[in-house]
Amino acid sequence: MGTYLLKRLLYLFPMSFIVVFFSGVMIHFIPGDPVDQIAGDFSSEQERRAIRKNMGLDQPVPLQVLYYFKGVIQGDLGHSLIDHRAVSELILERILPTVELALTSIVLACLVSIPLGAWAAVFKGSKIDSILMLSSLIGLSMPSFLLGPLLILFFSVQMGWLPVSGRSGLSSIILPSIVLSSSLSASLLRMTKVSFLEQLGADYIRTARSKGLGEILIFTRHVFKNAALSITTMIGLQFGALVTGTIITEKVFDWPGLGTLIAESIERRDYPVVQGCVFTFSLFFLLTNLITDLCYFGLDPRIRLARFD
Amino acid sequence: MLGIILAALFAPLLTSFIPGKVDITQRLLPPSPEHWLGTDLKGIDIWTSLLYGARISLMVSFFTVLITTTVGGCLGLLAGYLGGWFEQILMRLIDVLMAFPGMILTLSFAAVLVPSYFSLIFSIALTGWMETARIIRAEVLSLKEREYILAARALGAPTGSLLFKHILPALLPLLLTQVTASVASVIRIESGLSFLGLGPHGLVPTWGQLLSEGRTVILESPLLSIAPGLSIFLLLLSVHLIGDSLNNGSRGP
Repeated sequence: MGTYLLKRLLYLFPMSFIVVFFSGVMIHFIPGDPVDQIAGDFSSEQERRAIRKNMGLDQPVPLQVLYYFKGVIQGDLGHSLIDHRAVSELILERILPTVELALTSIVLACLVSIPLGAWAAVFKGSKIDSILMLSSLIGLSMPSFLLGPLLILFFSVQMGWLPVSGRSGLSSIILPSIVLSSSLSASLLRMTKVSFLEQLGADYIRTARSKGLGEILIFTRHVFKNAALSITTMIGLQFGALVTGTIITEKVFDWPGLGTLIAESIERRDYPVVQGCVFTFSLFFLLTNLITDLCYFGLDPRIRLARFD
Repeated sequence: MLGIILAALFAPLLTSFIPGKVDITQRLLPPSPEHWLGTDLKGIDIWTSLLYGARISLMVSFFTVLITTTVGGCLGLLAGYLGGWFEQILMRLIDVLMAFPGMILTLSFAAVLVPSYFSLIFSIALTGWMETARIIRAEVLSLKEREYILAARALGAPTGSLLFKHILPALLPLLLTQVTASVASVIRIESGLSFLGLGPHGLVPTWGQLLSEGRTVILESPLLSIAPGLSIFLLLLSVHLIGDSLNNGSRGP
């Protein structure tokens, strides 16, 4: 068990190395001279030289990557080209709202999809099942930039119950988290149904039934426990989709998180900030994958024991 | 789905306006007999933009999926069949690339490249091929051991004919399901990227660009947000429905 944990943790090092490397060299994928893109067409030679020096672009490429590494270790991700603030500071400001939104949406999605998925599995082939499956298809196809405006128009403009955008108070998180969790719940619903069906058809359930266990007990004690395993993995895997979903949902609602930061910086061609955001998002993703693996490991005694020796 | 393809093909017949024709005096008009869905910020007819935007969305997703399916399919096929160091290297590479959030990779490429159709297709395709390769490889691994393949090999069939005559046809149903899944995700990513302002800046706005324009004037002219959003929704829904029926069909009754 200890060795598996250690291996999994050690795996994090080469991966974060690649993340840093990628964010570091990213800027060199710009065709031509990156300074041309950053400075614009009407810049003087002096401005160009200043930008080049500020970003360390006057150094050879391997050295630049090395400097970027050194910076990351010291918590320095460079400075914004627009307002010259430290990138790490800008990112730290925005992390909390994004995490807040992501977590609320995950919880919301689980609350909606797991009971409904179980329902659809138990009444497989009935009307309820087909209605649920159809609505999950609708949820999967619903882009956040359609659902968002619709909800805003109805709840904020028509009814005036909830704020249109921004982040002020508890009520402002309601609409963005509904939008963000909609496609997540839709796919979780389908996956929950499949894994419940798998368990319901298993031999041990027949055994439990034949020994006279009540349906409710079978469900809570056997089916749910076993299905929880695959559901956890799915939630973990879906987290990646959620992270990317935040970018668009945040933009729809002007939510002041990392997503709006990266979108704004791309628009302004503020590359150091874009680099920093890519770095943060990727690190985030790596960490959630790690946590998912660890949960999986903790939940499944077979894995725990198999890796023991 | 068919409706959208037809509408995109016959766009010039369905509208009397020139795409991208700017008329500032006519901006943000409500729907009228002349402008079916009203006009946008620059006075461009929204219905016309929708029709021509469909061409862009469909074209981008067609080419992207063509690339990802060909590349992913071939690599997966070869990796599954040949095994050995080729498979090892490819699978490790995919593991590493999959450890990144795909959209972030796409986003960063789209951000540093000059916006054009080519760079859009390139940056989406870059992350799209891996899943196909993985799935195809797994399927080939199990197909390889089937008796009819073993029999064909024992009869001395050359590798090429084994791959293309015997294994590839057996892969088709799976490949088709994978294609519909990729189409749906490409449409989603493409509209997302143009919504964020990373799409090609042509004369005709894409659906995503219309949406991001609509976001700024949602109170004055909600149709500008809803019409393109609804088009994307319908397109995605039909792709998903096709995928679902394919899925049920391939599993048999």
